Amino acid sequence: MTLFDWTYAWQILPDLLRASLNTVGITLIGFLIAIVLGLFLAIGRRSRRVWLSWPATGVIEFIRSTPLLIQVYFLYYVLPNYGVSMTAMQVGILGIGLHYACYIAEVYRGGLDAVPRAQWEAVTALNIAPYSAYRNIILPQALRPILPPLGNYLVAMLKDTPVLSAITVVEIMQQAKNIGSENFRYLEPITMVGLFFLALSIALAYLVRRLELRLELR
Amino acid sequence: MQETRSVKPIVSFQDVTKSYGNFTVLDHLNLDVTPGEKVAIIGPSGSGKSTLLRVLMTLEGIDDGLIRIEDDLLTHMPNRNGVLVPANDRHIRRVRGKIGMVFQSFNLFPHMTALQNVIEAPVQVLGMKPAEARERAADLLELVGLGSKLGHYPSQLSGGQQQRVAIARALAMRPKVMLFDEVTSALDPELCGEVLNVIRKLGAEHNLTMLMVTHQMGFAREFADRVCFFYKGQIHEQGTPAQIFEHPQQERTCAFLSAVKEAN
Repeated sequence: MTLFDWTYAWQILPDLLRASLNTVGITLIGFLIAIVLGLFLAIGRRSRRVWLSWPATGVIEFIRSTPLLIQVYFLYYVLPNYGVSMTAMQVGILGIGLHYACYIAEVYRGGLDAVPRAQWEAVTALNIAPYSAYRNIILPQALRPILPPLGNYLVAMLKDTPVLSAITVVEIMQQAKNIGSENFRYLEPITMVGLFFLALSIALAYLVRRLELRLELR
Repeated sequence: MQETRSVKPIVSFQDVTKSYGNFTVLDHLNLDVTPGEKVAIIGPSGSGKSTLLRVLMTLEGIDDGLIRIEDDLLTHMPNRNGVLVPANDRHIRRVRGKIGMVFQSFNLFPHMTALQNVIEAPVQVLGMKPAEARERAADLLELVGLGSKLGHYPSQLSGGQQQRVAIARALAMRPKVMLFDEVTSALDPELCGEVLNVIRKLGAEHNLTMLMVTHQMGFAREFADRVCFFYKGQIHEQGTPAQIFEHPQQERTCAFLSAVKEAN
């Protein structure tokens, strides 16, 4: 028996690549949900209005304090009892997006808090409404310093997608397990999945770094 | 000592009180400012000078009393039954629109050019068309002597230039009352002049009401119609510059003025 069976590896590559598209898709759409929802949660939490800040704080703390695995289980297996049913893929994307939205909300909060209070005073003195203030004045200043942690969460999220195999989403890890159990040989598929994550993580980190540099030049 | 004025005040503080914990910053303060008047506010630190401007700009709330801008209350509004209740955001925004402020530390938007800094609020708040806002902003920057710096970012400008952009930015909102909060205190001495010149020019060419907290006694004396000496959250003494600077009546005023003279 060879240590690493290249023929076998070559054979299973197309199946793994197909499943990897799911992994990439989940990550990208999930991250999009996370950065948009996270922003609203962060702004909600900072609001002076209690009916906005308390629920936002509650959601953030609750979701951050429970495992992703339990959350997606709940969404996939329990919600249908209450008439909400989605496909495994939909639940997976939504669940991971929601989970990371809460982490990212805290990153936004850090960035927003770091914008000097004097900027808000200028905003008030010019009578600018909160929405325009956030969009044109506060966020552009808050965003640059939080890009590195946002990049971190993008990579962390990518590496968390195998959790979704627990609710039958066939992402790359689930596919590798399937292949392994069919052929009684795990070394090649699991190694290949590991390499896939390694390569993609490094590529994403590189892209985030490029973005940082571009924004720094302004 | 003050004769009854026939002109209706544009800004009026009635028994305004504000404290931070046990420390009373404004203590039953009363002050009327007539349209077009230039009021200089002087006094020792902690006497409530800046707080007066900050509550007028609604950067801070008050604990008691009323503030009136023309016919409107600033921090209160009558409800359906005519009872005064704390003003809602909409009311505050409407009344606050009559006031503009220039800060000690400029507070320009660092990610915007001088021109963008001046355009932003007129477009967002007054709903002005960008082309028109741009034209007016260019005029205002010209007025403050920065016609050649439209495309510069704040970090590319000197302190004096930044402060002049800030003045243009506040003017772009067409305020009736302008507040200047120690606008030259953060500047190197040689840069104060260019900022004060802009304020002189505004005073001469526009009928703006101005309230300025300042440590520049020379400027207060030459520019202001009235000088208010603040002490312990109240106006301890007020009068024309000649009265205050040449014949101060109160001991505290004399002590403060001689301390300032010594420092210079």
